[in-house]
Amino acid sequence: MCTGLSEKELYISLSQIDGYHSPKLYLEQYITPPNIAATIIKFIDEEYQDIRGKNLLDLGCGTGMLSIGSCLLGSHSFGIDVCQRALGVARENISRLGVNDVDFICGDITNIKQFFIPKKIDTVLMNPPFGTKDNYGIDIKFIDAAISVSCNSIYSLHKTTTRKHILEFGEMRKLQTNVLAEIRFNIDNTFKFHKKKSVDIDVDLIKFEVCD
Amino acid sequence: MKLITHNILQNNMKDGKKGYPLVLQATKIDKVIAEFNQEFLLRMLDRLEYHVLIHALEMIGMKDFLPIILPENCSEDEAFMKNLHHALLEIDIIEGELICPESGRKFPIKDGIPNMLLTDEEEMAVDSEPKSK
Ligand SMILES: C[S@@+](CC[C@H](N)C(=O)[O-])C[C@H]1O[C@@H](n2cnc3c(N)ncnc32)[C@H](O)[C@@H]1O
Repeated sequence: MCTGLSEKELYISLSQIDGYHSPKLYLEQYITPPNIAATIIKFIDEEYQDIRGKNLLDLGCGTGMLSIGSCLLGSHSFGIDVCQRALGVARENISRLGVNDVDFICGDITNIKQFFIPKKIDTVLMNPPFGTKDNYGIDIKFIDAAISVSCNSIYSLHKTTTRKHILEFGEMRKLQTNVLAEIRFNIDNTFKFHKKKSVDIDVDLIKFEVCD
Repeated sequence: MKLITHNILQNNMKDGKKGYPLVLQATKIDKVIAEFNQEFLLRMLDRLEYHVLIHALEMIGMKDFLPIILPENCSEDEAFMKNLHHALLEIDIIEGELICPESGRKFPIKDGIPNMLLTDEEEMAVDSEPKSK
């Protein structure tokens, strides 16, 4: 892979990523907007050197925005999602973009210890379900899964309204936990019942540091 | 599914038995090209099970590809590193099966994607919403 992509070039590539064909609401299936994905990945690479040359796992990878984006900057990526259809789209996305250094696995991350060997991953980068609807607690289960597989850093997106809760969880697990950025997220009208064309939500990029 | 992924998948059962390494049966294999990164490979050598990689190569009929025992000073052995790179990252299993050596449970690989879901989870993931909601 070409590893010298600028943020703009990364954004242009990621704009070609196809999203969910029939998104399921209860799995919170919407893509990370490509401009936001490009900014975050570039930021993590430049600020923390946690992308290039690292093996990276995207939990709840959906159609591959974060795992493919990281790959374009030189990571070897894995993506796990419970939804086979989304992963089918992810495979189409990698052939369209000519990216090879990524593998997708179909699995339920709440059960990750059953199928994925712990502590093999350098970096986890994920945009998990927020868990603020009737899937309460799923956000924490994603962080837990990330802790079990990662031996270095976890970067995760969370609703700003849940910040206190997430930071407390990090503290409870004795991880150094920091809010790196606050992002305004614009989610397209993926789900038909949203009356507005799109909704804005405030999201935190949070880093957890895992010590071996 | 690349062999690097085969190296970190398992079937850990509720009774504590560990299904590892998973038996690999491939019916369709592609070759892809990945960027060579020596530093990455050396780090992975530390973290992965070399003998499981050899076993995986054997199961797909490519066993003479790498030495059975990891050579000393392998980082200076350019040919070895190239072959290691190819084995881990460039062999893509498109269709086949992963089989738990303990329970015999089969995990299909379709369109390059291994499916590690257990049956009840599969039901949850099909099109309708979970029944309880
Ligand atoms: C907000 S989307 C993020 C998609 C993608 N990472 C992106 O950035 O475009 C959340 C994803 O988590 C997946 N998901 C939800 N619950 C899951 C579970 N228990 N195991 C694995 N994946 C899950 C959904 O299918 C969905 O693709």
